[in-house]
Amino acid sequence: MDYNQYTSVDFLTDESFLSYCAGNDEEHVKFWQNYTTEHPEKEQELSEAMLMYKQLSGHKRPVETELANFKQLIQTRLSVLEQPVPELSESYVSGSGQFKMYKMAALVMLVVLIGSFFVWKRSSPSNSLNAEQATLLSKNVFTTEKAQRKKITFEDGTTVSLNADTKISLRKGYNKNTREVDLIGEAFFEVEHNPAVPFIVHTAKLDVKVLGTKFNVSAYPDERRTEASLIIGSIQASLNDKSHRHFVLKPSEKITVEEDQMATAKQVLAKDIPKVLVSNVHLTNRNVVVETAWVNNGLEINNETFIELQQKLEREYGVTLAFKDDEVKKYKFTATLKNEPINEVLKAMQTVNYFNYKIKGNTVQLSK
Amino acid sequence: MQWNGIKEGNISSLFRLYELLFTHLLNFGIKYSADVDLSRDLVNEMFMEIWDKHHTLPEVENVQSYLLSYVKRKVARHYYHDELRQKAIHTQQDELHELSYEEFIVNIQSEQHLRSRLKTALQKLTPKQKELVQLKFFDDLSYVEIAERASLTVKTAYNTIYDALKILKKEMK
Repeated sequence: MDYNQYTSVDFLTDESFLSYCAGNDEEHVKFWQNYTTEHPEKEQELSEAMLMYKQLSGHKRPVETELANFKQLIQTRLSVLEQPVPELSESYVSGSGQFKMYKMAALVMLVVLIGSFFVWKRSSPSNSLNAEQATLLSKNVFTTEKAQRKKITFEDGTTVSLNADTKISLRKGYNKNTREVDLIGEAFFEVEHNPAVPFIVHTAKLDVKVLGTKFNVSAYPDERRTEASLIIGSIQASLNDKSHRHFVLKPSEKITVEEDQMATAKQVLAKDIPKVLVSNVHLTNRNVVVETAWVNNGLEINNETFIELQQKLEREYGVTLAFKDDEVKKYKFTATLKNEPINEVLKAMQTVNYFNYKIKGNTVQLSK
Repeated sequence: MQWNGIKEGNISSLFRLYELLFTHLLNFGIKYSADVDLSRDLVNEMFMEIWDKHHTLPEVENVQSYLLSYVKRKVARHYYHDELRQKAIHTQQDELHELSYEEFIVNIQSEQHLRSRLKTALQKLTPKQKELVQLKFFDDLSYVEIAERASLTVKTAYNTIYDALKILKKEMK
């Protein structure tokens, strides 16, 4: 069997390659991952085959992933059943075939989700961070533009999904004694379990240390908050200020660091600035975790105003929002969006709170 | 076997059953809804309901077909409560009907431009080719299983799929 002569169609009719695509057989997965790295010249045929596989199989995920997800759901469910049930009211509004959007009243539930981690920071990356990045080899830096997402697998098997406008750099000696990365933007990590080589994500405000789990880190320079939500497993978050205080998160908890004093969560752990809060992650009534929805190409909007959504939408779609009426900025939305073009998103938002919009090039004008 | 374990309150039996049947149930849901996320949610919900009432579960002879009709009922109920989507997908249909591979596989592509390209490409296939592509890629059957299902030799099944892929590749470029 000479794989080097294979076209994408040959790969697609090869049972071993198909098990790799389905991700249900570790042996085949390992073989093809190695093959892919060792044969860069086959990259085009392989990625074409993979893409066709995904389309024809319906973009399904490995059963293992589904089962892990289900275990979290049922764990959440069992813990939620012991709590007073929050009142939900929902009206389902639907546009085109794939489109989903609904209005919900107060929706705060406990979630158990695999290590999700959000970090935002206000200031631009510090000088020390830039200096470190400069010493990195270029192939150890991965970036996404606005309106772009990528999934990367590192040599140790750890995979990282990058959200839009994000940069991640592996530090020197990654996977030798430690696995350390610097992040600006947002990423979802699925860390290969290896207690001997801890995995650390550095951001301006927070460092996060894990021993092998899945979590999400967001550290956009233009966002006010730094937030980390853990779903399953255990992470330790350390503040990058003088205090170096650290917090060990339990599943379903998130930590939020705010620079200004707009914090509203109940459990305030530190009175000084930055404010640190530990609270629970958000779960919609369709069991979607708001904090990590983007990983599955979704956008969860949880009772947010237009102005709060501005950066998120601009980043996701590479557009600029121009508010012609200040009142529109205060319109509130709760929605589940699924990989829709910007005009579909706006149309759906209109059904919740009506406004007018005009798209001119990359600018979206919004008025009453 | 797993069913009795669940009835006895053994959660690992629930997970085992999930592992065994999830893909099959998900695929089944997709065939009636053309929506992967919805099907996943409904199948997960079903397994949670089963766990909630594990003390009072009925005796079931064929667990798989019991669960398949459970999923189908859930899809139907979902659309009943969701008239807009019902209009969009099941025009003037009072009952759920199983969608063709072409219908649902095109609908679950997330990118608009891809949807129309895939649709055009699939239309270039013969009904037999389409059937075998579905069995291979969507239902994830082996060539031997496909050959049995379609009353073909394994060689013919393989060749049919190979030719179909060549057409799809050309059309989707």
